[in-house]
Amino acid sequence: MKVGVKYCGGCNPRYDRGNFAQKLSNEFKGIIEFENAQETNQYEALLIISGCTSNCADYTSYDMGKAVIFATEEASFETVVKELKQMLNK
Amino acid sequence: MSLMTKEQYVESLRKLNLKVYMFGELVENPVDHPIIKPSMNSVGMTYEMAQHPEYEDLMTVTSNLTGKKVNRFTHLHQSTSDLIKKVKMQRMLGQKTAACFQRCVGMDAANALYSTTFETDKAHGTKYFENFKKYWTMIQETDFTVDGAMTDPKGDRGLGPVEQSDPDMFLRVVERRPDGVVVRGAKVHQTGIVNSQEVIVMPTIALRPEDKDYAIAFAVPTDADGLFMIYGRQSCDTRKLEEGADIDVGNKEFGGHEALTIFDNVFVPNDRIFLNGETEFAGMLVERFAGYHRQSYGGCKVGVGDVLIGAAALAADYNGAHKASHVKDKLIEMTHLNETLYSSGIACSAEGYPTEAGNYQIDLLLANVCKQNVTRFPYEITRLAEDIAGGLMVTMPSEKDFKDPVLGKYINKYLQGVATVSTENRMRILRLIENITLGTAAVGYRTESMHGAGSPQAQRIMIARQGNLAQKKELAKKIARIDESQNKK
Repeated sequence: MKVGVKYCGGCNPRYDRGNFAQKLSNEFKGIIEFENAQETNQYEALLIISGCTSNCADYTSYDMGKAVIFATEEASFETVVKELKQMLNK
Repeated sequence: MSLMTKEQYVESLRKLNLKVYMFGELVENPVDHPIIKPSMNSVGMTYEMAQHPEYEDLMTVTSNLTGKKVNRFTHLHQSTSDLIKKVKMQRMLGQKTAACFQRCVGMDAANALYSTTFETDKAHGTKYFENFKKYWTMIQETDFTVDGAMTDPKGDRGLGPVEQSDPDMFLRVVERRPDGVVVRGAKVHQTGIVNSQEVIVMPTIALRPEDKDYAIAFAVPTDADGLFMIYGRQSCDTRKLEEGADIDVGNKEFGGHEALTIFDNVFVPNDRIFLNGETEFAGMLVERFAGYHRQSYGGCKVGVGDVLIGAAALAADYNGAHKASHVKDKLIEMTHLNETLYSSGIACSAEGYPTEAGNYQIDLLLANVCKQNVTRFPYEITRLAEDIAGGLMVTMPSEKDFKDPVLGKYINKYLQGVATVSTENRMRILRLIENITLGTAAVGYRTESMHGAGSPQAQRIMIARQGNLAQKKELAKKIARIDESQNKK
């Protein structure tokens, strides 16, 4: 499965967004390919990693696949993992 | 090429034939000069972050002129969301550089010119809007850094441009030719001009009909014939020239700069002219530029404030005072002040509106409130940072003494704070606070906060104009059940 990763612009992030993406990548090593989202590419899901609950990233020009998944805080990790696992199991 | 890399940006600067003077001498290689280079690195971050997936959502945007992805510093704002993201971008870059990254003036000048040229053409049948669109499309395609030059020397402040004993105290047209104009004058406080490929020049005040030669707006390359710069001094600037300078400069990688910029009979071709004699539009241009730039300060200064608050907290951690209630309270106060600045930057953006040309203008009242707060709060934030840092910030020995084989061990021993923190790290954080509060970066964080984008009184005039006092009186009358027909005639 290929997931596009789109970040907010990081004006005042409450957690390390890059580290969050790395942790996810490690969690799904060999199962999900995470790629910095490109407007020309297609994905099965789009993951938005926002630094805060404002969640202001503009992702309208990206392929959203079957789902758009949001992370807005460090604690979003478990929820994101769960949502991705559900997608894998479908 | 709509987006340059930092390396391409630096190389493009090398190709310029800039005339920059410092300490009485022509600088042969501005790009590698140890005093200038940190300021170039700050501008470089505006290119570097645009390539970074974690920051591109703020740093890049789709151009309304070309439909291509461009750096937000070359963007003409198309929505309130664009205005908000501009402020967020500035905060982020302030955090990354702890300095002025210099590229805002060009962006703010462009947005002011885009709408003003449109309305000037509508009134006068001129072609400035087309000129400007063509010019700015070139800027978006090349991703150049553009300086925005507004402030004239102004001579006797009690006199207008034509009344000055020296008519060059405001930049003016001295010759009109079929193919363009020749201008003479100077622009003071030019932030980032040495790191810019282009400069946009605008009038500095609202003008009267007799000031026709002063109603001139245009763009030229920064290495145009007749244009030269005299680099501005900053407190502690020559520390950067010391061998191996690192700890003592406080911020080794980043900085900002200003320069006195002279236009000594500079030729401007017709297609680079955006206002030429339409005096009644000078005020509109100045007001719109100032409005955007007052909004900008609600982002960039906040980002530097974030670094200073962090530095003050670390200074307390490193000397063991971090648990003291008054230290905690001072850090809360600093944060409160900093976020208040940010709040007004965001607010004036959220309340923005479309101009006749289609780009978005900020809310003028809230932008002026934002900047008025910026003339005050960074001073209180620096006062609190110095309070927490302690006197050692300005009394500790030099880096050279610290590295001296004999003296170093004494400094290491007696300047130790918390045992688990190295003396060097303690010195580093104190020097960073010194840099922002009274060193080279204080130019940007303190005095520029006071006078940049207009001195405090300029905002108070705008607040008085925009404050809607008549409506407030009506509100009070209604609540107080006042019947004015009962007043004495």
